[in-house]
Amino acid sequence: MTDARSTTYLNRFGDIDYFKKQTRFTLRNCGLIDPENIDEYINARGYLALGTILTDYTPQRVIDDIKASGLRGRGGAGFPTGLKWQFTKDVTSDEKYVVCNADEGDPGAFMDRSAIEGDPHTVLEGMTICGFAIGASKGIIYIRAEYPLAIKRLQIAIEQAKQYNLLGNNILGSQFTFDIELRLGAGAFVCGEETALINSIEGKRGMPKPRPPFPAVKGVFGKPTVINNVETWANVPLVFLDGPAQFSQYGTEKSKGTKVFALAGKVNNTGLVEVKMGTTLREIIFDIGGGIGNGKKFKAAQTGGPSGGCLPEQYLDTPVDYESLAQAGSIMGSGGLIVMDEDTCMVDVAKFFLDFTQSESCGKCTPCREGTKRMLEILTRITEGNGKEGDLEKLERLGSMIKKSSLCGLGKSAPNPVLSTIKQFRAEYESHIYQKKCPAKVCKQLLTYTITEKCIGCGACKRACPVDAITGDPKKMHTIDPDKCIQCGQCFSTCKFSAIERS
Amino acid sequence: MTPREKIEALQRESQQKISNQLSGKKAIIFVGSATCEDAAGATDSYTALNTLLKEKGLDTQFLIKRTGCTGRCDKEPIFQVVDMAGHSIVYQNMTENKMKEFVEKHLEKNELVKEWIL
Repeated sequence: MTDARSTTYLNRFGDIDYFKKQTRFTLRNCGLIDPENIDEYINARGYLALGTILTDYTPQRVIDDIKASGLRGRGGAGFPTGLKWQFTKDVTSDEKYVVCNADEGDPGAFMDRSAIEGDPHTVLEGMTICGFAIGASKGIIYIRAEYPLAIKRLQIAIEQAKQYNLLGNNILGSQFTFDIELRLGAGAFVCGEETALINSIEGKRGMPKPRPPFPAVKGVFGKPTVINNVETWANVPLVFLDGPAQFSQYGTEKSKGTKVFALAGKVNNTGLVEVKMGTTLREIIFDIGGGIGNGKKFKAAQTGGPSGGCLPEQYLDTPVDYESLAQAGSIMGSGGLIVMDEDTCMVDVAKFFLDFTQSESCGKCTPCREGTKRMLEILTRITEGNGKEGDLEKLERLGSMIKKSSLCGLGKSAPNPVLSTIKQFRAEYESHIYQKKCPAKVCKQLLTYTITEKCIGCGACKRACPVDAITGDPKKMHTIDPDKCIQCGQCFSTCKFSAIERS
Repeated sequence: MTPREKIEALQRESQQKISNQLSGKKAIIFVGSATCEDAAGATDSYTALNTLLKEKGLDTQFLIKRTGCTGRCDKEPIFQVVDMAGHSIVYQNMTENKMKEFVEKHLEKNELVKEWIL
C-alpha cells in the first residue's frame, strides 16, 4: 500500500530505523493526526471507504471483498473475518448487532488502547461498514473502564461522526442507519471472551456460555452478532480503500496483512510495533527492538500474553503468523510480545501468568476453577524450594486436562505458559526441584546470601536485616546465619560495597 | 449527491479547514498525547509550550497539534517538528523543563538540538 498514508508516515519518521522497518497500516494515522478532530481523519481518506460502499456496493459484495482480502480476526483466534460476517448475514432476524471487543485484558498489552487513542474513527468506520454488510443497525463498543482516555476519545469521535451524518439515521444521505454506543467493562479479564462479554453487555454476570450456538447466530440479546477485535476493525476500511487484492499482497499465504505487537520486556526499544505477517521474531526483536539491553543474552520471547507460550533462541527465525507460531508451541494472541533475558526465571514467569489467569477465572467450570488453583499451588511450592519428585508430570497431566475440558478460552489457554516453559526449559524446573537452585537468581527462597571479604564491617546490612540474621563486630567482616536468613534480599540491596553475593 | 460525492465534498472542506489553520505558519509541532505520553509529562509540556508561544507572540508562526500514540514508549514525550516543505525532526523525552530551550533554539533560531533527536 504505497499510497499517501504510508508515505506520510515514512516522511515523518522515515530515517529512524525503529519506524522505517515497520509497516504501519492499521496504525497509519496514529501519531500523525489529532484523534479529537474528525476533519483530520477525513483528510486522511477517512470515511471514503464507507461513502464508496454506500454508493456502489451490495452487502454481499462487501463480504466477498473481506473474504478475498484474507483478513483474519486479530483478537487472537484468527478466525476468517469474511466467514464470520457471512454466517451473521445469512441468519434472518429483525435485529442484529456489531460488537467491538475493546476489553484488552492481557497484562502488558496496549495495542488496542493505542489504536483507539490515536485513531478512533477507523474503528467506527469499520463497524459501520460491517453493519451495512450484515444488516445491523446497532453497534456496541465494549471497552474496559480502565481506559478513560480511550473512552473519552471514542465519545468525542462518535459525537463528531453524528454531526457529520457519518453515524445515525440515513448515513451520508443513504437508506442506511447505524448507531454506536459504548459499554464499559468492570475489570474482569474473562469478559474479553466473547460469550462472557455478551453476557456482560446484557447486564448479566460475565461468565462464558457453551458454543454452539455461536454469537453469529445467537449473540447479544439472542440476536445474530458479529464480534471482532479493535485491530480487526481498524483493518476493514483499508480493505476497501485500496482493494482486497492490494491488502492480500502483504503477509503470508494464510495470514494476510499486518499485525500490531506491544514489544515489551528486556529490549532496548520498547513500544508499539506493526509488521507484515511473516516477519521473523528475530527481525522484530533485534532489528526493530534494538536487541537485548545491558549486554545480556536473549533467553525467550513470550507471545500471546497469559494464553501464550515462551519461545527460546532456536525459534527466533519463526515467522510471525498464526500457523507458524502455533506450530512452535505458542499462539499469536492479541499481540503481546515480551522479551526475556538471562536474568529471567522461566518458572517465575509461568507462575506469574498462572497467578493472573487463576485469579481471573470466573469459577463456572471445574477444570479451570480447581485445576488452575492446583497447578498454581505446585508451581508456588517449586519456587519456594519445596518441589517434589513427580511435580512436573503432575503439572503436565493437569495442564493437558484443563486445556481439553475447560468451557472457554481462558481455561483452555491458562496452562500454556506452564506447559511451554516445562517443554523448553525443563532443566531450569529440575534445578528448582532437585537442587533447590534458581539459575536466574530470581526465586527469593532459593537464593543463598553470603558476605565476602569485600566487607568493611560498616554494619549497614546488620541494621537492615529484619530477622537479625547478621552478626559481626564493627570494622570486621560480618556473617549471615543461613538458618535465620529469610532470603528477603534487604542486605543485598543495602550494601554499598558489593560485598554480598547471592547464588 | 451520492454518499461518495458527499464524503468527497466533506474531504474538500476538511482540506480547506486544515489549509486555513496552516496558512502563515512556519512549522507544525506535533505533540504525542495518549496515555503513555501524558504519563511521561506530555500534557505539562503541551501547556508550557502553548504558554511560551503566546507570550512570545510566536503562535502565529507555529501551530501545536496533539496526536495519539507515537509508539516509541520509553522515549516519550515525543515531538515532531514539521516545516511547510514536509521536513520532519523528531525529538525525544521532551519534558516540560526543555520547553524554554526548545522554543529559543529550534523555533526562534532554527537551531536543531542534536542531543534530543530520536
